[in-house]
Amino acid sequence: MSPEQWNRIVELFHAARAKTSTERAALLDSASAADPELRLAVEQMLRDDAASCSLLDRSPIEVMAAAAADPYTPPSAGATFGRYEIVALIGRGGMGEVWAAHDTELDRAVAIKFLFPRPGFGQLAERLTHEARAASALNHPNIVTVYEVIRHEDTPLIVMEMVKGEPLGSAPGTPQPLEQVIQLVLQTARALGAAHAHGIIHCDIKPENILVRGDGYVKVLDFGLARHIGRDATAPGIAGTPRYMSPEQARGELISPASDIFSLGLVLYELVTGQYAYPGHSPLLQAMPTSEPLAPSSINPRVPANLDSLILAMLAIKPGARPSAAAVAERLGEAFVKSRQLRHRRIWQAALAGGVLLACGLWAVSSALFSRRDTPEFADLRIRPLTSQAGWEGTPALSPDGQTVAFTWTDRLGRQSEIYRKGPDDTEPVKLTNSQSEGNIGYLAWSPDGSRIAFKRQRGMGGAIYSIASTGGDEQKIVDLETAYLTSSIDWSPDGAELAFSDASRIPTQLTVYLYNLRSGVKRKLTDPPPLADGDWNPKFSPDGLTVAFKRVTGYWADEIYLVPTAGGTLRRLTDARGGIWGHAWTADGKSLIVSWQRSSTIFGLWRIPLDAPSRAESITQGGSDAITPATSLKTSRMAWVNQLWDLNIYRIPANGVGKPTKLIASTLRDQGATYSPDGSIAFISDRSGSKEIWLAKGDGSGQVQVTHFGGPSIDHLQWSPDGRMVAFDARPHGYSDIFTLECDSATTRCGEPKPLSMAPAVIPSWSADGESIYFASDRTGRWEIWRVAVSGGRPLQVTNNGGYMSRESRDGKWLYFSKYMRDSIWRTPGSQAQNRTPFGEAEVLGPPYKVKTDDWTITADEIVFLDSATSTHPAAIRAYRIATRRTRAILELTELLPDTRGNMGISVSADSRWVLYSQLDRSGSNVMVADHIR
Amino acid sequence: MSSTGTDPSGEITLLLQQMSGGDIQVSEKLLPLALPELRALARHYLSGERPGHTLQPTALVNEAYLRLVSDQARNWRSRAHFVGVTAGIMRRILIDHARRRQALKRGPQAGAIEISEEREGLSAKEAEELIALDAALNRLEVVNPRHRQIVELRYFGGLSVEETAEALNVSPITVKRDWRVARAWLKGQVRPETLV
Repeated sequence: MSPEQWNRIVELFHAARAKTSTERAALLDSASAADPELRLAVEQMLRDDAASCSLLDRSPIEVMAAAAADPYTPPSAGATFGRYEIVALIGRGGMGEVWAAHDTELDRAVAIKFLFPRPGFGQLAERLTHEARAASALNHPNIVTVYEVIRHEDTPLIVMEMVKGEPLGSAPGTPQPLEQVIQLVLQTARALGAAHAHGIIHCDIKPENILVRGDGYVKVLDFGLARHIGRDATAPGIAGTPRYMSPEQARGELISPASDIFSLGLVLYELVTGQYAYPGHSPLLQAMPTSEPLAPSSINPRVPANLDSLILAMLAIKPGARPSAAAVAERLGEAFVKSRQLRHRRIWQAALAGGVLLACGLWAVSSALFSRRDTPEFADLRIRPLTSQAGWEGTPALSPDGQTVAFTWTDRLGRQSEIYRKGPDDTEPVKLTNSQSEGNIGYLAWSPDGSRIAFKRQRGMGGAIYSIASTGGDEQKIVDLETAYLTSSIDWSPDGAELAFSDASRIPTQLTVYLYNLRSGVKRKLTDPPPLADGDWNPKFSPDGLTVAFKRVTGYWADEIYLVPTAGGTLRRLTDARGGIWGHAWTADGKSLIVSWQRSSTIFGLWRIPLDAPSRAESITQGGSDAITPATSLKTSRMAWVNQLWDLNIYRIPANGVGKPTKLIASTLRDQGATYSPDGSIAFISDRSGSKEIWLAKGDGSGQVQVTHFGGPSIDHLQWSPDGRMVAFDARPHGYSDIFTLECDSATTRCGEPKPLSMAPAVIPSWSADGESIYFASDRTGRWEIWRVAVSGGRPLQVTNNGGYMSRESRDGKWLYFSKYMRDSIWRTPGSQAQNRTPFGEAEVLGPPYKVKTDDWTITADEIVFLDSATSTHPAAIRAYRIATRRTRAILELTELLPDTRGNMGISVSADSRWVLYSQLDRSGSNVMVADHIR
Repeated sequence: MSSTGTDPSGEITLLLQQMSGGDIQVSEKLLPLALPELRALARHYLSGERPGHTLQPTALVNEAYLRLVSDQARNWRSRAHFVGVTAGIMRRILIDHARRRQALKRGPQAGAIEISEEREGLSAKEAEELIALDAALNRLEVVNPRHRQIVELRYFGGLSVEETAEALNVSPITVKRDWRVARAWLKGQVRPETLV
């Protein structure tokens, strides 16, 4: 395009835009006489001008950001509303925010609820008055007292008793300790019992409305939706929180105290299993449950039988079949006694077995988590989770004796982070700081004598390093920072005299490592990053204090570890720049660094890099979750780090779309990519054993057996051969991807050794209809294209030449259906049994308005079953497209799962076309892990 | 927010003043001063350490501006000029981000991508479109540099029509017209079916 051509486009575009549609056609006609291409270009631009679904209609960063703008203007600290003076934000829910305030007249702390503005605010105010009336009528220790409802301008504010506590944590997260759960839910049931006895239904029981005080006392709040039994229980309109609604509530039917029991049953279910009872169900689906959820004990084997049956009874679909609140309280009391007896036995057993130094109750996480028996170097590595709260735990630091871990915790809503400590005598993490809204906290460092913990607190972009006694107490400020990024760690020198941290003191802002002398207050610059580098991060002292290891960031996620003598001097580069680095730590002998590294993978794993032979880095952890921010202790071989969990599970839904999904295969890690064999059994991928491996199971999900032992980083895209005797898949045992076949007998769940096709780089295999050859995608030509090769090997043939990625051949072999890399459609080309094979002929079969996810679809005898990504006009769904009639039907709408359906779901349809398998992300979060015997 | 910026030497302020005086070389000098700051800020936000935080280009550029520039320079005119430079840097950062996103997906580990997608939030398609947009902007630069500038300021810098007009010293009406035609053309350039 030349400037002149562009000018003509601009002129014609503006001229046409100013015209009516008839005039426009005439104008374009006259212009096109000389230049038909010009007309095509401008017509397209006029259409695009009117459309509003392009990248260019949104902010580019908005595209990356999940959270939507909030029209609500929060109050600010110091503002006054009548006699109340605002202090700080303490909570945020779906309806509004709760702020701490001071009652200047009565000189006491109160909590004030501010509501988010929304249409129908008047009705909300009406509800609030109900809340006050209903709750004030109850005088129960487990119910939050409402003092008054005041009006400020048009805003109703509800003034309540100040409760210092956290909302009940719940799914997504790991199961909570049973005894604690029982105690908390027991108190909630008592509160409900009292309310029900007064004829009040809560109507909105959910974790956010159950506050737990520091002393373990439960306070139920938000009787905002409460209605008196028999008076307005049938009032039109649905109120409540969809996820925790009872079926009758969701349908807008008559509600009763039993509705609260159902909601509490859901909460209890989540607490003991760490999973939703009906994961991913939209309110509509939940309103019509046809089956019970999985028994809690099948997810968390530690749930005793009596608790199991109580929870299922609370979740009965018929309100009349649910127990009363009083009965729930009574049965929970019994369960508590039994659980306590059991716990004493378990701790005793653990102590006998030895090695469980931080045994502190019922950490109900699968013991298979990351146990890797096949890595000789780390044969003794014992890994266990230290924390299992919902929300995000981060930046652990080990005390010098290795006995206690300090870490930060941010709740699920991403609010204020605080420092917690967990030592051998702490059954639960102990909170050390009380920051209110003082700024976020990150990266901790113990003093070498173990008496204090230094930490970084950020305010705006600046901040400071503080210290606090390791048992809690007042904070002392040590040194101000101009740039206090919470992505860069701090460290305390082994002699206790100095702190190391990164700061930027001049423009351009470029982080530099400083050493700060605690006695003299002198700040010394240790590193000098090159121009245009982002700078130097995460300084860590070697155990002898003579060397500092730090991360130099030279570009976007171009991270390298360097070593520098503490006294200053020549740098030494330790790593090559392959992937990001997310924290590092010295081993106690000072001979290696433990590095959280994205080396040749998208996942952060822990690697040990020997200083004398950095090329011989070894992987310590592998699996589906990121292992980040490692910390070691100077005197022991213990290590702590943060594990970010991503729990995918496999579900089954009837292919006719009638009925509910059933969770078929679940673990605490990632189960995905399930595929049906012709005989109805299932092969799937799971990283529950520490690395992604192939597993087999029966059609109902039972009898799960691991059949591969790659220990490698990735296995994907399983497909059974048409005769059901082999599975084809792609894997990267040596860093590059190849296609493998595995002979398996699904009846005995025995398999042979995986055989490579030696077609690397190759991904996404699929079988030809006769089972004689395998299609796969390869980007050997610089673009992803589909190739075909005989199962016995030989020269591969290129099948597509205009792009091709995932393929499936029709059962008669006449057509090969395929997707293209990062495109939203499905095409077809003549298959291996076609009569007339036009080389490289292709036709689009299925496309807009649907957006087919490129590797989440399959074909049956007559349909394409695919994952349709969400667009601005329709939600994500699993749909089936009938090839003969070109009709599409929905099998499962995924409204609620939207943020979580990324990644390969592995859609598969059973040979009899009755069932569809898929996987979904049920929860995510982070936990602190601890391991011993790190050398 | 602190009362003064981190520009005690007044270097950036001086550069901005020179730039409003029409010195074209200045943006070349300003860029290396502002680039690490913006990259660090973007990385800081995008690394996911602030759960649920929304980042708009204007917010990021404003934050960089407030940090870099001393009080007396914080007037609207300087800000517009500063943003004029930083919008180009934002473009670079985002394209880097998109390229990296694509490099991850292009690797043979196509199945292991969901983690990074969760964290970085940029879908493969969006990454591809961003990269296509970058290439299209380079073509636009050849035929009309001002149109390229306007897209950079409005899209990557998050500037309003009035601010863009101020930064480029043209009328708001011109900005509106140019933005409209450039955007309509670019939409066609980044649409997936036109990408080969």
